[in-house]
Amino acid sequence: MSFPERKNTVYLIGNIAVSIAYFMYIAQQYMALGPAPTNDFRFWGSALLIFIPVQVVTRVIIHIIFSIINTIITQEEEPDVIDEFDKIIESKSTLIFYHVFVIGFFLSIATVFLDMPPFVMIVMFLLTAIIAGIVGDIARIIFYRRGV
Amino acid sequence: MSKSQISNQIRKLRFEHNEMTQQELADKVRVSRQTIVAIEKGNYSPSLELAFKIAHAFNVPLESVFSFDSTES
Repeated sequence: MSFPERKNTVYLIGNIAVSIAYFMYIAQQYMALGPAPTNDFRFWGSALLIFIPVQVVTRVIIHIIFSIINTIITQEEEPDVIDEFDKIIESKSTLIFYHVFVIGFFLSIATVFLDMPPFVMIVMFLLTAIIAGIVGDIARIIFYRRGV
Repeated sequence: MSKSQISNQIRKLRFEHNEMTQQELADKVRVSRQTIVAIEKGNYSPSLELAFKIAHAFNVPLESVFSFDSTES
């Protein structure tokens, strides 16, 4: 497995682990609010807003830990070149991320149209962000393995 | 991902140039080794600029490194 494949696999595992942990934490917090919480929107709004910095910080921490462990194990330094191959893979996987995100976004809007409770829309929106991120990471690994 | 119609002689040329490693070629043309691996395997068709750089690294014309198979389409 090449360096970018290893790196993106670690990102993917980290992304899944953090997303599941955050989702479980949010679910627990929501249950603690009681059966009919009055400040539903405030809670989910803060849950969505906090999720973004959580993901960014997690990715930075995973990157640092991966770089250290990878250098110790393989004695291979992180390539400092970002060339056209990396850029085209980044661009294609980002495009896939956006496609999944847009589909999820419209599905979450559809839940409002179908008269579902507001928290369903926000949970769908949160899940969409998580799933789109995972799909984007998987696409990146596949492109590095099979080419573009 | 289907194989490209562009084939290359990079592996053969590396061998003929004192068994140049993929990393050495990558350093010469300023890309990562992963990119050279992908090009060699036919998993990635490089830009025209990179193709010229690779040909220049071997000191041969472009058509000695890359060829286009029009019959596959």
